[in-house]
Amino acid sequence: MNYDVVVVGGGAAGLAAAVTAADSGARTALVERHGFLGGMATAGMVGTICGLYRTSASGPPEPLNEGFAETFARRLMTAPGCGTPIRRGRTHVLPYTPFAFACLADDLASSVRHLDVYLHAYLVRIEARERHIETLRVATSERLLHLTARAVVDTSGDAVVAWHAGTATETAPRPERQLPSLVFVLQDVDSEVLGAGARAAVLRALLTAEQEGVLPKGASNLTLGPSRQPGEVICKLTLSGITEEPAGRDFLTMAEQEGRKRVRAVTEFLRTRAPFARAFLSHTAPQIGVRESRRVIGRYQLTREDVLTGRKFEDGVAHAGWPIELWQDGCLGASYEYLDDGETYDIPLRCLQARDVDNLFVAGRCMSASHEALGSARVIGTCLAMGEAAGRAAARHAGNEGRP
Amino acid sequence: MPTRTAQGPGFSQPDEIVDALTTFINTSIMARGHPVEADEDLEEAGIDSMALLKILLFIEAEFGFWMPDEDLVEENTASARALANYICHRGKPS
Repeated sequence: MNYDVVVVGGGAAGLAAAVTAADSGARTALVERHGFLGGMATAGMVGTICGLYRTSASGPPEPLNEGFAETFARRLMTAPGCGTPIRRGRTHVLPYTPFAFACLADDLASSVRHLDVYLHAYLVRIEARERHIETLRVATSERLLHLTARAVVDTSGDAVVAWHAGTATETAPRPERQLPSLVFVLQDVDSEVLGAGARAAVLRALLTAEQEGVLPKGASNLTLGPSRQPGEVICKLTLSGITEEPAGRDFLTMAEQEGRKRVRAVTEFLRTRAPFARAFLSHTAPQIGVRESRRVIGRYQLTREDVLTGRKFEDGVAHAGWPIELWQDGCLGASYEYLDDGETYDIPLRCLQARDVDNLFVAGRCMSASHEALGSARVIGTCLAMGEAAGRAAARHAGNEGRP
Repeated sequence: MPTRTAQGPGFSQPDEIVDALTTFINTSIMARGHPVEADEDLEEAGIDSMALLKILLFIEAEFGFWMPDEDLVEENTASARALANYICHRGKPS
């Protein structure tokens, strides 16, 4: 099958890239490993879109980007169970339900001609010649696909296209890498009595239990978010202390198994406290929420200074303004470094272009950025905006090469 | 580190406790250049339950007691001054 643009990874960035490329007339394929689109927004059940609005200590939310991100957010707000932006510290976030996100992604993907979506599909091999990717082998459980591409967009989160192509990538060493979290959902909680003070009391009890060895390390690295559904609390356990990777075992395998073990232990402990006496764990997110993994080396690497000084670039293609949010081992919760009120920085197109492969574009978590800069740029709102830019650039590149 | 009490010479005035709390919050939790004021609502300033836990751990280290769960209500935790008033009140014989 011949395509102008093949997008690998159907998260926020990949969805935006694929819809934008197809909308501009490029024959486009979107390859997604899960049975639904949305990436961390759905499979990781993040639950709020960050990075859509300007930093401001007061006042209403002001969208950072027009185009795909703004349209997506506006449509999501009207979906069942979703709402309007809420203030979170010095910025706003948009709460949503993962199912609504997946359905809107389906609607958008099916609204454009020229876009073929492949779900339950894995990239297994890349054929490249010098600085050019030519074909992608993609496996579903029903067939082995052979996709030719004029341009490729790596929105896999883990830079799997770049990795298969053998081009330059980088991964922060484990001790510096941001921690993943597992979202889990409790039902039958007396959530009406779970105000900020009561939640802090719960966290303190978890910390004591962790220090006494009753609970595993990291058990208190928990956020508790009562949902709009009475009795339901959405919890996020950050998985610190998974430092060993014995030969032959993948980090993600260990993290998923360890995550489930820990959330069960935490739930059992919570049940000893009054608001949780009848609580049970109904489900976890389909996969662990990954904040940082492998990144593509692009033509420019975004830096911490670029973010915090609100740097603008001549080839800026998306505005961003989320604080540098880092979840590190040995810390409770996250650290935040905010931009000044109203300030934004640009994502330059060069961060979305692979350095060593001419027809490889990138967006989302595997963009070209330093560990700290990615702490800001990785959020879903920014992924939507940079995905749109990467899709547009890939379609333009494909068009310049001549259509098949 | 030796703990200080609300009755101790360094913390005889509520304002001094307020200063100690805001200094901690502004150096350890809030972003640089964006301090909270003594009367500012902490939740609105972005202090979530994890950040509130850090404040409670600071209070334990500095004043030598855990705030009991039943006292962790908005009236006592809404602002640095509310926390200071609680600490001050707790330090006085009833």
